[in-house]
Amino acid sequence: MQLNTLSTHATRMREESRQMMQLVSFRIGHEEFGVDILMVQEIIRFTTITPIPNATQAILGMINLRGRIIPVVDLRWVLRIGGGEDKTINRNARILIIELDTHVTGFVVDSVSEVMKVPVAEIEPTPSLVTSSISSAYISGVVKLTQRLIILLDFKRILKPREAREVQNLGIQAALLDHENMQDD
Amino acid sequence: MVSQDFLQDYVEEVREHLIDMEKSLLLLEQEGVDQEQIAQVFRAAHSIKGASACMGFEGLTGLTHELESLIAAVQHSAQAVPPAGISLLLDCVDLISKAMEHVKQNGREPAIDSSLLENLHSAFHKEGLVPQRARPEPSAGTSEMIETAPPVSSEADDDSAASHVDHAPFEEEDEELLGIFVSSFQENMIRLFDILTASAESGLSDDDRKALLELSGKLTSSARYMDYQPIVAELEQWAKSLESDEARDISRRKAMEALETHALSFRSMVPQLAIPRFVEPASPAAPPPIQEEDQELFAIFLDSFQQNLSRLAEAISAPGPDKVSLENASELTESLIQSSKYMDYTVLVELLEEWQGYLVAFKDMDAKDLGPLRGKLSSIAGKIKEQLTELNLPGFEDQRQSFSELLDEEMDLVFSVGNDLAEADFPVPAQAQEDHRSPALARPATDLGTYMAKERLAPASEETPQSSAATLRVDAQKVDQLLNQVGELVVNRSEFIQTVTFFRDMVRELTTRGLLPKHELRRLKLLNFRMNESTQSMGRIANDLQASVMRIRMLPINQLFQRFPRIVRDLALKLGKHVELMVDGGETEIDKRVLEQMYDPLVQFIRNAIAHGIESPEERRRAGKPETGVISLSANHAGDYVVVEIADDGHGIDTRKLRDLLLSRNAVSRPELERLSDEEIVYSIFMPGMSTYDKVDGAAGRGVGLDVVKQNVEHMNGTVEVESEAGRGVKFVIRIPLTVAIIRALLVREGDQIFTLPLTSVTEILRHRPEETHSIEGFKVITLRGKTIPLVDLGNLLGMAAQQADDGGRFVVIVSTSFREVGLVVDGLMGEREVVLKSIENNFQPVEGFSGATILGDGRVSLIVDVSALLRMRNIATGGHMHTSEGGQYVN
Repeated sequence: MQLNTLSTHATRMREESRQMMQLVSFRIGHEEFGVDILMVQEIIRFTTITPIPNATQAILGMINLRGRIIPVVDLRWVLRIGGGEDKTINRNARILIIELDTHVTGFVVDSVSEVMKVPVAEIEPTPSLVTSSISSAYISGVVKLTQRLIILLDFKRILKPREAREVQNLGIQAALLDHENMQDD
Repeated sequence: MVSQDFLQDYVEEVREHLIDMEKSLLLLEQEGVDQEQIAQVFRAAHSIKGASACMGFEGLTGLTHELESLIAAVQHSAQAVPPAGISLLLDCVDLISKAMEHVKQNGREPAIDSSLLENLHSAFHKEGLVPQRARPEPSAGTSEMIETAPPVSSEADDDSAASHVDHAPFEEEDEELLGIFVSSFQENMIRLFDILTASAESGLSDDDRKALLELSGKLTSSARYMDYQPIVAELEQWAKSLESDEARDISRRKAMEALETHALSFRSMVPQLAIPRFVEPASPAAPPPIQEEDQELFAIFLDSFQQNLSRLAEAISAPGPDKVSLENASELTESLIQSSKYMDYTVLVELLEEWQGYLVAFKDMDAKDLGPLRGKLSSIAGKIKEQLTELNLPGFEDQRQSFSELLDEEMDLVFSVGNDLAEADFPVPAQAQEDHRSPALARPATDLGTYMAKERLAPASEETPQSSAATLRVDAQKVDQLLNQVGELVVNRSEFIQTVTFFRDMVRELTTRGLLPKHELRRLKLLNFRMNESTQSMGRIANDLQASVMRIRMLPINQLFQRFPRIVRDLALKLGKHVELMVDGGETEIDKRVLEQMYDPLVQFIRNAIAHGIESPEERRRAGKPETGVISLSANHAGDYVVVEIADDGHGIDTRKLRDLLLSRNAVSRPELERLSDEEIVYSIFMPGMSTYDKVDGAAGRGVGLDVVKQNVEHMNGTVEVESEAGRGVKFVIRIPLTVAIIRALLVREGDQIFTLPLTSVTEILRHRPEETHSIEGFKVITLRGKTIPLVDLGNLLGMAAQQADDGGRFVVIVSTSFREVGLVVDGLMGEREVVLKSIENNFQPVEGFSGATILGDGRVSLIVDVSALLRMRNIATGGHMHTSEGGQYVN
């Protein structure tokens, strides 16, 4: 009886350790990020983006995704990553199409590196030492690999529900100010 | 417990019945005693009861049952329903309607407030309409089941509907009586068949006919006793056909066929009435003794026959008799015939050929007229079955055994399908059988038939009785998705065309350069030619497809109009006015989404007309008008638009009051005001806060309604016009595009971006001449035919980077927005075309100033500019200065 319990416990432990998460990793500037592959509908090449006049800077514009018109968000800008002044898009740039609650949004990243499997147990929930330049509000954890640090982004929080948008706008404005200050420095 | 799918259907169904009920109640109120309308109310209540019982909603079932009994009492008393009673009944409609909301949201029925019923009861009691319990309480449960069997409803055509008129009493019988009725009915039916069977093949003798008539008279009277009106009707029809002169020539066979179909339909009405299978007289072509066959051959025959049969069963059992499966079935039957022929099974061949004949007839006819054929099919199927089991061969007992079992299975399937179909269509419309039956038999000239025909109010449904029967209830989202995909296809098509053009240019270039040998060039040209052809045909198909999908979304505007009589009644009653609503053009079809968005604006106009337009009865009398005011609502198509007109015969709009109001609010300067004509002044009712009404009440008068309405209509790319004649009334004319999914648009270039302007808002296009612009208070304006129109730079409006200083070569697009025309200065014009309107899927940030976006031929996204919204945004941004200035000078 007791032995039995022990063994099931052991199995569970093993299973837990074996539980893997599949990540899509991508780069923006010098940072490497990751997102749960289940949230990624697809990854497309950089395409013509139609800018939206009067929209906030976070939105680069609209793209035509096989007949659907979806907004494209400048992730670099949202995450306050510097070095994006050079507006020429490099040929590795991709648009991550993220699906959340039936809404589809595109995010521009510098490049997509790979799809990797990471044991769930290895994801550290607290972003203890992440670069100070990235707003920690959007980070759900980090994965440390040899020589690499992958920051897991929480797209749910980036794409806040409508009610919270006001707050988020303020946040973006604050971020914008920070951004400018940073550049001034 | 309750499936969501059913729930949705249930709610929809009940709502439809409620609409019918409300309509009839309103008619009752106007006309007093009207048995047809009472019957309609009764039917609606009954149908709701049946549906609710099915769903297990006891409260609703109880409520509607009570309602039904009360209405039955009224029906019997043949008295007019008192006005108070009508109001209470309408309240009941509201109560059930609210209950439906609850059901839809929670999947459960709400607690039913029975006080309403009590009031109703006492109101009826007062009028001496004491509801006598005409019939015993239905034995719950089982009796409801009868009704659920064939979902026969208003969807059947006229003839069939006639037979349903009194579907109701079927469930109210006590079982014993039903038992007696059934057994005597069956007995008499069998005797009928016996007489027919015994009679001469060539025709009916007078004695035979007399006996038949006597029997059918018995049947009729017992059916009448049971109050089974449809059966009575059918029997009478049959009897009439026997009596009539033409009937003298009726062959026994034809009378038999007619009776058989009747028997089938009786069975579908009262399941217990299944008449034990009547046997045809020993067929002259009795199954010939099957000769001793080559065993192997027989085995092959059995094998293939069975295979084909099972495929046939499959083809036929597909839901609905669609052309493809029937085609399939007739092919299979053909191969069955061939193999039977090969085997020399003549009887089988004959039967199969008969079957085939009917299948072909089936195929060639519209789905509605198939009733008799279906009955026929099932009877032939039975005979084939008998024949097959009689194929008895020595040495094949075992195989035959298993074969006949398999056969039974397949045949049962085929057979039962035949039955189901026959039941589904039951009361036999006769045209289908013209060549088999005498015209007298074919004419469904029963009183009930005409009664029903009269009752159908919508003229459209009389013309096309078939159209409703094949309705399919589909989730609107699925249609939207389809429309979206078709839209993509259309965009994709234009990409194809561009590619082909590119290819053609390339070939031309290659030709002129002479780099390729001639034969290679020819191959390329051929390829290009073919590509072009197939692209063209793809384009055609895509266009047709798009048109078809758009049509799916089209609904008659009556669905909207039929909600208004109630609103008119309630409001008129409340305000003590007499108002009549006249509706015209209800059959005009309009996109579902437009239909939904039209509701609020129309309600607002109607409320306005009743509250402000139409005077009180005394005033009207004084003005020499009839006491009852008339609001007429009409709809018709005009090109790609639906024009809806709402006119009242009230006192019109008081333009003097409007002028005073405009002055007092400093909206317009005095000289400006004097320049404006009355026709133009009337439009100021669309300005926020304008009301000529001194009192504010619940109905209207706050002056907020019409500006919102105008905005809503403009949001749908529509326009509103208003005409007023003092003392004669006001007419609003709303023009709305047929569909919101595709609009005609003008593409303009600003900087390197292409924007889309809905053509509805564009009135004129001019070349921009900087030398003709003037500056007033810092705003650029141009003068166009005496009108001063402000110019706005589209780039500025959109907050885009500054344009090149050179204004030459630019264009001015005059757009009409709420209350004013504005000239938009744009860099270039890219032409006019139809664009598929798409919503911007944005959950990140709301996008303002654009009503949507569209995809251009090259796949790029173009935003659709909502000029009014943009101007509003800018006005707020400039602290209202522009607003007063423009509002002051450019009110139309």
